[in-house]
Amino acid sequence: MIRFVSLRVLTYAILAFVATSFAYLLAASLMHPEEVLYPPIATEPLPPATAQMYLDVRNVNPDTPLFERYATWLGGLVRGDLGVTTGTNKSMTPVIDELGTRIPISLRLVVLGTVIGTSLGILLGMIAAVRRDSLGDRASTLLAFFVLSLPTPVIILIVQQINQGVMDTTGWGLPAINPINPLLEPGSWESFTYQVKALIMPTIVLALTAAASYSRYMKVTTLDVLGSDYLRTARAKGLTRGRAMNRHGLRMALIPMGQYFAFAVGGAFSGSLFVELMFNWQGIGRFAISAIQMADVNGTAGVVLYSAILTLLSATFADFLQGALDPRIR
Amino acid sequence: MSEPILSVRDLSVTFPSEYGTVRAVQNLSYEVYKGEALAIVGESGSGKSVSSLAVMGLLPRTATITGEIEMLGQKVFTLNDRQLSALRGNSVSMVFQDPLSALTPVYRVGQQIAEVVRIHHPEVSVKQAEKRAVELLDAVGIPEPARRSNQYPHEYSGGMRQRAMIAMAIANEPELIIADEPTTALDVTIQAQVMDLLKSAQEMIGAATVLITHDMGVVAGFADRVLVMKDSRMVETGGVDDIFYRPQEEYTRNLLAAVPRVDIADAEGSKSVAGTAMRKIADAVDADAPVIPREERPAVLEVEDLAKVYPITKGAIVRRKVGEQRAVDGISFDIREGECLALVGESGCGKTTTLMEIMQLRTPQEGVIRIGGTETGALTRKDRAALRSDITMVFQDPMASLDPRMPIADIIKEPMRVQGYSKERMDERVDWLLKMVGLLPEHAARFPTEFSGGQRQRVGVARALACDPKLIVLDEPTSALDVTVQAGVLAMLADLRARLGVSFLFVSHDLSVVRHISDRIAVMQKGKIVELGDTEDVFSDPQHEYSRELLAAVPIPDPEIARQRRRNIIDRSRFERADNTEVGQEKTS
Repeated sequence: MIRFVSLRVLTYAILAFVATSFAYLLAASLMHPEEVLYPPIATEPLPPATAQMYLDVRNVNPDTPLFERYATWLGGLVRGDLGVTTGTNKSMTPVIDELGTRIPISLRLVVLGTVIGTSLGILLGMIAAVRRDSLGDRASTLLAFFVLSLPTPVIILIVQQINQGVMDTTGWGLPAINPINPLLEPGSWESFTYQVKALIMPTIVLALTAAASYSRYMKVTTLDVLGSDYLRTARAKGLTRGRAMNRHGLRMALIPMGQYFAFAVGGAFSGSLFVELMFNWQGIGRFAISAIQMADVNGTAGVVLYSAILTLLSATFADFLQGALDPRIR
Repeated sequence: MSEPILSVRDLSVTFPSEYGTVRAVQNLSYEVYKGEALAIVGESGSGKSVSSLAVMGLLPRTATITGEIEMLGQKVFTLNDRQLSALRGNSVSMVFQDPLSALTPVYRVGQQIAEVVRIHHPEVSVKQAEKRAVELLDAVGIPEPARRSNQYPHEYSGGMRQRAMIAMAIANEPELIIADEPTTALDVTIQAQVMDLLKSAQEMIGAATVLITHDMGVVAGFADRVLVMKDSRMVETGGVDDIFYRPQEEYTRNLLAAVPRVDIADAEGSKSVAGTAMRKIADAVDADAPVIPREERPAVLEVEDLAKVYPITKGAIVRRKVGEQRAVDGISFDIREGECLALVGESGCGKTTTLMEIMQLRTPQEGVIRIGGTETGALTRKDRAALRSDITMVFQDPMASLDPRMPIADIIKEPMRVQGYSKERMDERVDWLLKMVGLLPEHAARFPTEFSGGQRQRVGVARALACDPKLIVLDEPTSALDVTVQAGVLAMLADLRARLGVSFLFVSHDLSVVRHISDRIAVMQKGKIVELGDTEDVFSDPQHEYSRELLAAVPIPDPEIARQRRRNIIDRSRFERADNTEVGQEKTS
């Protein structure tokens, strides 16, 4: 078992490394931070030596060969240093610090959205399969396709508008934007409740999209299980329909769902890009978009490293889940 | 007479389908009394399984049921799911056909047996229930029951899984056990063991049994009364001796006649359709040509010291060999022109591997294969392609081996097209081939789904015959077919052999099937041929112990003989000890 796990971790580390390296090489060869070096309002040209130093210290000098820059970046990576922000972001903040402040904000969104979304999807899918062709099945199928056919920004707008409508009529509503209220004292009870309230709407959006696709998968696997011989055996043993489904059917139906979980996390990450933009969250998603816009080579590579680790962790979790559910693959 | 445990009155079951309403069961009535064994016999689609699921209340919701079922004085259709569940597994239990899919794969076998105890006796602790499961496994003859109860179903063999199912069925000492084709998925020797176990378990706990089967041979040794079903209706019912020795209905007689007999030597005594058909043809051929002694006829296929070894490897990155599986272990045989050799053995004995080694027409791993005197290793690509027309194959599953999107004319033409036949010749041959296998030339444009299982297998044979082969390899050609259909296909094969002089290599797990069609029999066990001889010799005087075992295991459709052969197999003392410990613990707790 230890051998199996360590082998897995090793392959994943290699995968994450390859993905990030590829992202760095792509970003470094396609982005040109030196072109946005001089703002148009600059009146005097910079002395060449200063410009060179400016580019060198950020490791984005186009005169340095690509692979030398890559080697420098790799050296930093080994030491846990992802370089500094480049491009029009001239603050030279270490990427690792930037990620450090943003990951907690984003992660709570992605994790909560995935967990609530998949649980909801499993529940809805199972009900839809067990009560096939009932009103509930048709309603949940219709709702799922409605959500799946809408782009995420439209769903966000619908959720925000509903909140606004409630706020207009009752005077009470959820905070429309921002994850944190900077006016409240950090660590205080008010600050905490504000953060929880602010989390509700974005989580609803992510959970809805995850639940919509997850309920479809779950319905199919549950229908398979419902026609199986072992469920008939369980009923023949004297379990009622519901107990047979809970004890024998649910676990069998969840086995193939384990693998979809990894995809669900990836889906939640890309969903969070829109959510963070439209709810004005200072998270990873927003950073990713601005890093690409600002020709921030190091920042882009950093985001890719984060999303690679996130995906691989969820894949590991999916494998673990599947191993726990199914003794045949242990 | 005492009150019946189960009485079914005027039961009808219908299902809605795309092609209108399907009547699965019509006006079925029967009764089962305490301690009695009733067998419901019929071919696939006759409604026998549906009627038993109706008794359990396990039919899908789409089914429309009319009539009345009374079990232990309770009217089943008036009970709700919860009340029915209290009966299921406690007063009435069920053993299903396919033991692999009938056990939940993710729970230990012991847990699953303990579960049935705990459902109906929640006062028994988990530990006691698991102990009881071990005792039950011991009683049904599972070796090392304590270790085995901690294993998962996929670690069990087919026979052991069915034993575990029986352990589960008898756990609460039910009044009625329903066994739905309990041995159809098992090998013949295992089948005999499981049937004996079921019978002795039934006698021990005094339960009534309903056995659902298509195999008259199994019925003879098991049932007290028999109910024959055809096309969703009851044909006749009566005591087991009445049905076997004095059948009233034509259909029952046909059903009995279709069962191949291993115990009757000459074709005169056999009522088998296949036997009769063969006798007729054999006479005609004998009259025409003098029989050439076997040794003087040229060999079509020679196999010498053939072996196939699979390495067992371990490790993901660095593979290392930890052992080897000798699937085929040095076998030798030859088939002469016009001869039929039967290769008989249980699943996993290496029959199919042998076939695959022959059919790939390449140098085998070890040994030599010669086809018509040419060594397969020496063939060029072109030779090999040409040789494909000389040695063809008929597959086990007639559903899976025909392309559902091709009309059967194209299916039959395909091998001829590969060999470069002209269009006119192909059309001509398709007509002739269809007639040859007992189909009509008008059928050529139809698709495989429009045919029944037996007809599809005939199409498979026509395809194998397409290019005038010298040898046809038949891989269990009738094991997926009903008995009456099987008899027809066997008769057709015998007829073809006599008329065309083609050789057969007939692979089967069932000795009774090959008796009337083969000239010689090779009995295979664990990759070796343990006995090879003329059919009559093997049947009348089997030399090897394993051949004797195989012969003894074949069910004989004759109640007298079957009763004599029965052996007691359940361990009564273990079951009772299990009972006592449970009662004792209940008292102390």
